[in-house]
Amino acid sequence: MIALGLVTGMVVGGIGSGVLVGAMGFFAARSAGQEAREGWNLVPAVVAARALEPGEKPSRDAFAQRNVPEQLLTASVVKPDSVAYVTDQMITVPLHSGDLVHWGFFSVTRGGLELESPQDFKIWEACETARAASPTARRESTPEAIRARLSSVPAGEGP
Amino acid sequence: MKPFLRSLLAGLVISSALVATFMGIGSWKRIQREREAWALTPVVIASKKIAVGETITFERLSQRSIPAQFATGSMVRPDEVSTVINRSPTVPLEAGDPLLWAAFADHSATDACFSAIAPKVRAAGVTARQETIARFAKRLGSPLPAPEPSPVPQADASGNISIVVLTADVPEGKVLEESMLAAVAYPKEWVTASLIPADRLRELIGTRTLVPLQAKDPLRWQMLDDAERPRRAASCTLEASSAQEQARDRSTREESAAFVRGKEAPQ
Repeated sequence: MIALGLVTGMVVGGIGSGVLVGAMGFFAARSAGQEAREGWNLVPAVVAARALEPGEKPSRDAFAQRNVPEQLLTASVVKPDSVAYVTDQMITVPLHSGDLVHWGFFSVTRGGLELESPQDFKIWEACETARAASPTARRESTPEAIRARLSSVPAGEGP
Repeated sequence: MKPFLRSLLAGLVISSALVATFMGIGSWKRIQREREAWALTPVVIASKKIAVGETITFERLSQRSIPAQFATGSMVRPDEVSTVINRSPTVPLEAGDPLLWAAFADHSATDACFSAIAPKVRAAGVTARQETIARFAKRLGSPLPAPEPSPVPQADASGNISIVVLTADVPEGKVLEESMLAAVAYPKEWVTASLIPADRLRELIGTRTLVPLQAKDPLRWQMLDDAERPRRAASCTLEASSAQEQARDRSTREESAAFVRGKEAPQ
């Protein structure tokens, strides 16, 4: 009889307090979230769904849509309705998962090259692909590698 | 109090305390995570538009605080800003763009390869194009002969003219088969000498399309050419463009591989 009472009490108490504390926790967390994000208007943008390396031609699933503060959404950033334009295009820079995708990160939009025809960027892509296949070519496949180079080579003494 | 009620009460108190403690800790952690995600963290942003090759100075940068969940490891933090001063980005930056390490990706080796081989690739394409046009002109003379005019066919008693249309979508360069062709009656007002009368349908079998076409499109003489011995200017253009593209692709592959092999070779 005592064991039955104990078990019944534990079951009823567990369920009751679980529902009560769970609801309180849920609303408290939601309230904290709303309070924290107050003043930030979020808008959708395209981000890398995984880490990307230069020379890759990422397919659609390599990109994701994420709501970001509108302050970060400049003309450089690819909007979700334009993701088809960068899908399967060669990316020229390394990105972390979650990084905003910029128009300037792709070979077709790369600045600083003297292109005589729209097809010339394919030459640049072929060079990048050939370098990727070379065992000796120095390549920076992560943002950390770029930071390490910039930290070790003073400005004006290297790329 | 009866033993049953005592034990029931004890069970209620024990389980409520345990569940409340565990769920309370869970909720507290969730609230903390939410607050941390929205806690502000400073990042460096471009205060002005910065083009590729322009030198970055302190005046062109500023600091902005953004929620931590949006500050990825790719963003330059204020304590690292000296690392990028007096350097040039390799991607363009708009005012307000957070400064990313990726903006300083080193493309110098690939750019050098591009500069070295691009003239050769372009030359290979131009040569292939010119050779194709020269072969075409040698075979047919220059300028290319104009196609012979075709009279407008006679209308039947009901005022219609039977002309040739396609039964399927056909891409550019496709050699036509009998199954792709059909005769359809068109009002005579719509028919010009460019359209092909149904009684000449068999002459079209084995000809090549010069443009992509769709099912039900009426065929025109200008859209077709001899598959074996093309003679229209459009065929010449298509052949020359194709030859140029193939030559550029071949040259691009060979020259880029040779350039990188040359860099690999011991000095």
